[in-house]
Amino acid sequence: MSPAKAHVAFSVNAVSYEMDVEPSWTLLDVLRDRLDLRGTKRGCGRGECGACTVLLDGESVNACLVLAPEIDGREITTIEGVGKGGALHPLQKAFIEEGAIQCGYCTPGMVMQGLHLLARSPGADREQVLEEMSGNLCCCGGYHKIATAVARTAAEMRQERIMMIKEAVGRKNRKTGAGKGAARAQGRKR
Amino acid sequence: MQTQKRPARVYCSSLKPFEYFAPGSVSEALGILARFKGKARLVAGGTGLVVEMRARERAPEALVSLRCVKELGHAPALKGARIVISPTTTLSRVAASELLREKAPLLVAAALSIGTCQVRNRATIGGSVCRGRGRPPDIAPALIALGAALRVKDRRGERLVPAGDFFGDAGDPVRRGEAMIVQLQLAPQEEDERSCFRKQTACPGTDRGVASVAVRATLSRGVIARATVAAGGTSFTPARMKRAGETIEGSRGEMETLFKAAEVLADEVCAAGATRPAAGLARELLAACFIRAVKEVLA
Repeated sequence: MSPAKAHVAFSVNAVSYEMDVEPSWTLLDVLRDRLDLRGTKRGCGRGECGACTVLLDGESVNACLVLAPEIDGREITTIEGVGKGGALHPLQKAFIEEGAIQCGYCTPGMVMQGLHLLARSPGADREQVLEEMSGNLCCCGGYHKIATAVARTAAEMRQERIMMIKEAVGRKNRKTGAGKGAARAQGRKR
Repeated sequence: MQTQKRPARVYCSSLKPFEYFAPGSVSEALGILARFKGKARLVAGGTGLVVEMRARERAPEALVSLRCVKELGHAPALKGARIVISPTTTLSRVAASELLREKAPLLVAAALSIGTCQVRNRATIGGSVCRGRGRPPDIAPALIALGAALRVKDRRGERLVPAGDFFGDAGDPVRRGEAMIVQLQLAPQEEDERSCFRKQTACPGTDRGVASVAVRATLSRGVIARATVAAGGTSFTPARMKRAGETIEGSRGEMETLFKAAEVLADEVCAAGATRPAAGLARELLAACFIRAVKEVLA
């Protein structure tokens, strides 16, 4: 007699699902074989290559090591859910522009891990990128361009943030009347 | 001399069927473990267990998930003179904890030396300490040097097991699936203390430690006033290396003293059960880890 199935309710790329799963299935089996989301790749099956990286409640994990019953109540993001409304994410664009894709097998995992890194430390430098992405292997050896693409996106996001902060400060100053004149006046007082 | 070659691990794409339980309390989890008489295993992150199951090294009849056990869900906290950590805390949360970064940097360094970012986001500290006797955890020397103790619970009751004993026989009931760790306790690092964790892997690009050393020392004007040294490796039970610690006490890290202490450390490792060829390898690697760790503590 086969063991009882587990009932799980979860969401993938903001779409809710409910199903019965075999305890011995992994998240990777559910994504690829049940939901037909084949962007997440099957690699080594032991958490070493990172080809199956997805975000589980915002944290990057190896889908091949997560047992299917453990996804109950969790939010999963796969490579299919990264672009919004047909538009690519800036990280995906950077991968294309930097030529960071060779055979492409590792790319979904690389992008997902890159997204986790950018969400956690948006100002990451190249060294941090190499450290954080060390769990993703590229069988074509294209690490240099991959790291460049992620580091470039991080730098762009950092710049965007600075611009946003500057704009917000400018808006606040305009509202309170504290502009350049006020700053000059303060300077004279000092 | 002929050496026996270890057979290569063969990984299967599928796992053997097993029953799955997600109890809501520790007592319920212990009840399920007792029902399966050692044929059930606890699972928290599963990063180690799933790999062992794929390699057919383990084939549990049931897995008992700890994801719904609310009693175990707390963040690292300072309680009295001890830091308490839930066994289900992931290694990335250990590494990100402000409290642990300040009061137990040794543990943070050891946690960061394990696996990849993806693995650390799933793997738990409890799961890491419960590795089999043949594969002592890399985190063990850090726990021993921090004077850690583990609260172990079974159906008869609860007891506090020092980390040094846990990696020996005292941890066997947990590894056999008859008991479980419900809390880890550490002695926080004092302000005048410095510490360093060093690990040597089998080859670049892998996190599997062949030798690891944790050094915790109190410095007084550049002199090591008091030192705690703990070591772990593939061929021996992780333990506190008392004599190696005593050897470096009173020194300023002179190379002569460090080489002498490294020799003492290697002897202690042999006494801890390392086999002769492995001890030869351990001697070299441990010496390198140990000397670097002491140098960093003094830097």
